[in-house]
Amino acid sequence: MDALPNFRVLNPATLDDVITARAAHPGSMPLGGGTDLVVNIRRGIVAPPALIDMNRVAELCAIKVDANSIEIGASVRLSALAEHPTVISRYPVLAQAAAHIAGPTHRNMGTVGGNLCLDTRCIFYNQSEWWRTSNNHCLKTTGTVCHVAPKSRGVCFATFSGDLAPALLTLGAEVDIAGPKGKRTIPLNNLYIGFARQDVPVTETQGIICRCGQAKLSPPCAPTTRRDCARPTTRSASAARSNIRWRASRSR
Amino acid sequence: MNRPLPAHNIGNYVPMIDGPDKVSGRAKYTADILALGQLAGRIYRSPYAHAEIIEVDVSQARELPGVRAIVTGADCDKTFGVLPIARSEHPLARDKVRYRGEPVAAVAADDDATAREAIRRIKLKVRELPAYFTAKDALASGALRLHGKKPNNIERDVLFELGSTTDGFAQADLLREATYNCAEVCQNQMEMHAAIAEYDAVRERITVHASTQVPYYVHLMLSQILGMEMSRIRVIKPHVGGGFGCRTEALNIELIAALLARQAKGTVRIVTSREETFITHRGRPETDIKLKIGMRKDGRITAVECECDQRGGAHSGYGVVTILYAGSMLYAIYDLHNVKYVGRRVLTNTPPCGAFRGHGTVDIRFAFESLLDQMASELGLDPFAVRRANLLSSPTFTDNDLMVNSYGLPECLDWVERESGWKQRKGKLDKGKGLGMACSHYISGASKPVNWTGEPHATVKIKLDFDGSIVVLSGAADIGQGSTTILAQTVAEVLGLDLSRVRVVTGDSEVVPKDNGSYSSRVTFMVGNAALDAARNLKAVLVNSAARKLEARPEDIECLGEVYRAGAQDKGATFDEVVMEALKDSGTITVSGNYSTIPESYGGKKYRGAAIGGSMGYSYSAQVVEVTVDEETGVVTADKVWVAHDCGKALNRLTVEGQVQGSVWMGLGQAMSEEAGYHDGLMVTGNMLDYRIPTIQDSPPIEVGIVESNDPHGPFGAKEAGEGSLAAFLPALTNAIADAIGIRFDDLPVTPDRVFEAIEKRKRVLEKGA
Repeated sequence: MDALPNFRVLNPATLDDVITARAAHPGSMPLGGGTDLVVNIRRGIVAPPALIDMNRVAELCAIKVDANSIEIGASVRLSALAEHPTVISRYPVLAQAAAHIAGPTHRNMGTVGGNLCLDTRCIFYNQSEWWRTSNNHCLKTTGTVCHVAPKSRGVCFATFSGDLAPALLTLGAEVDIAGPKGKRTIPLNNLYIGFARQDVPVTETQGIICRCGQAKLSPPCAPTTRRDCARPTTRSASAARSNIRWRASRSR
Repeated sequence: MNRPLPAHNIGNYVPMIDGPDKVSGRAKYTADILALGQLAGRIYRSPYAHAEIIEVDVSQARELPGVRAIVTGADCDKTFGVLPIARSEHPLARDKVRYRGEPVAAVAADDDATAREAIRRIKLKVRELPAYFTAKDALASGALRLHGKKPNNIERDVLFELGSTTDGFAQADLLREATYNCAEVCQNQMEMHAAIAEYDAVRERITVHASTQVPYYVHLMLSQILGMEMSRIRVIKPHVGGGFGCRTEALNIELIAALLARQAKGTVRIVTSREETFITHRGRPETDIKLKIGMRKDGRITAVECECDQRGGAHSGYGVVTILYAGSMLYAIYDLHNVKYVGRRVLTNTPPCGAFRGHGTVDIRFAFESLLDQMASELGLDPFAVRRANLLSSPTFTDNDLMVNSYGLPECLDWVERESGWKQRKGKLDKGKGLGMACSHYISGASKPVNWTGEPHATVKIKLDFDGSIVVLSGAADIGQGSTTILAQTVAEVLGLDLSRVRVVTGDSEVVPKDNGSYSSRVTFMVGNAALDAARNLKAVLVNSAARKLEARPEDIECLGEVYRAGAQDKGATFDEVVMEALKDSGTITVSGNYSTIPESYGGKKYRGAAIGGSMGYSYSAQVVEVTVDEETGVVTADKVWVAHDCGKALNRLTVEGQVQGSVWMGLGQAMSEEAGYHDGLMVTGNMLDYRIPTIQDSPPIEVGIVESNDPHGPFGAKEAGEGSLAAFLPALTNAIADAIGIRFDDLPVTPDRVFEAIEKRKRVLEKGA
């Protein structure tokens, strides 16, 4: 097992402290549950000098409900979202989406903000340092070729895997983004601006610290899912294959 | 007077005696053994699939402060390998690298960060060669040889024809031929490979802790690689977190750790990552099978022709044995005559395959049982009837001279047919649901071990001293399968004592007798029999001393466990008194027990390699699988499994059920989701996310029926229980899918994308037809 490299962990208590910490530590990354980020750090995919732990910021840990909307803090655990009575009764699509992400231990750690801001994944990217080096890296890191589509001419085919986003999009969610210049609200739709395809991370130059502060939801609606997915692990097997080229090169 | 009774445990549900240590976290595995001054070892692995090595430049790594040793292929010109006839592998590549991930150099440093940095500084200069990632490419004319001595990149070819397939096919009413492809799969045991080597420079001795199934083979290979006398080597196997065959041979990790430790004159610890564990590999090879069966209208098989190509990877490992098993184990399950087998084990530029649970038998069984099912349906026969038309009658020798003394397959078939409600439910399930069945079998240890020395096959020692505890000394490697518990049970049963009196010491070459290790399901049979012999010898010692103490004849002494007495009226002597009396003769009592297989079980000589497959006893398994196929998504769900396993006699019902369920579950992975994938020879699935192992959520209820055929040679009648039920799951599943949606899957794994594609293809064909 590869040990984690050295990094600092900062534990701000308020959103303002988060913004200050972020400005003081260039290259730092916000830490939610760490279920994706820590794995990537261990694999040497990213090497932030500092992690800003978002889990102690009280205002990001709450779910606030009123008659017409719900506000979900970025640090709310996926399991808490899935089990929240109002979410279950008024936004069942969201509860179901949260309940089907990964396994129970991941849901206990993973956060709403983290899930919405997941790094894109690719079988040529989520590998060890030795592996990526042996494969001459790829477009998403320091290489020149996308191994999924070698003729893609600069387009990265890593895919986004956040399972909350589609559910929230159907509900017309908005996200609050806080930075040194204050807070602004954008439709969730605008958080995903297609940059992932070009592999420019969703970020702004002003030093956005929390790409999803709070998800505001429009008035309750009751979309029904066509079917219940009872077995996410098997199901995701095919999803995980979507960007695999080796299948085609099998012997027969 | 209250009649004291001897304690019994055989046939009960007995929790494993090392369970409390494991579930509480007290059990020490190799990686847990930490000591001051231990150096961190790391391996530099080849990024190239096939290349001539021009230079391994370690100069910059050596300059790094804290680096204590660096070894490369130049430090060891010896080869290793489990089979004396196929030792082609260097612990660190020399001259050539043959797969991506092959160890080229290794570093020991004061800490892991330094070792890691040193690895980064190593420069490998090569001349790249054409690489072959499939058996077909490696076999193509003009392909370069991976190993100089192996023309056409064939590690081993096998050909036999026993009887006449021409005659056999002529007698058939139905001839069918089909091709099958089974993806390469990895064991994925819980514990990653680890080794700690401690070199004593003053006394020139070495102690190696290794996460292995075969401490003795590690001992042999350390001696060979280090050029050290075996008496200077000590091998310790701590608790081991599973193996399933990938640790059935000495691995490069323990050998590299030893080379580093000797150079550093210290202790080196290597704990590999999950990815490295995957790449060290020794999994089940990708297998292509062409199978032809001739069948009469009544289901009787008249002839079988089977071709099998295995993509073995860059080195032999167990490869020769795997390709031989695949042929020889066509036999010993059904009454077959007129069988032709052509097998080729192919060398490719992928990590070396090895012995995976159900070694050599699984993919062939998948093909065989699939074709049987297809032919049964064409002939309008029930799949059970086809199996019953081809049963063996034991005792018998098969055409390839395998000795079958006990044969519980008929009872296995009856059990799963009854419990699954087959007769009432088959063909009457809702749309998208189906039932399928299949059978499989396995050996109870190879009768002739790969390193044949002429010694007894297994030896067990028992020590008994003033404290009255029975200490069983055995080299048997418990890797989680429960062999230690079985040894304790065996000895306690013979002596009529409670298990709490028995302690089992294993896994230290300094203390315990040699054992070949835990593989091919040999331990319960071989070591169990040796333990039985040792316990009986101890009992004889105790009976003699009881006779002396009670002033009676030994033949009149009754052993009741905690009491020995001369007749029912005798108050008798307690166990402790009898022990004290026995100690007067010899001081500490030590007895030995041995077991040797009989020559009749060695397998045949009718073709080269025919001894592979020879075993003292064969286990049998029948399974019924119920599935639901979602035709809109291609998702297959195994709803329920009924499995009957003939293990001769269940010494411990708890562990037998666990082993059988584990086999089914492992079969489920291979059948439905597991597949080692490569990108130009680089394993892309070398992690727990991309290599899809079923989770508990995917595990259906598995009902286990234990069939006891009481093998005349097995300890208490026992045969193997840990492997035989794996293979049947694969075809039982695909047969059930065929029952559910009418589509047959001859390629594994049956993933949702494949099912979806097949359903869509059928739709297109139907639309075209309309």
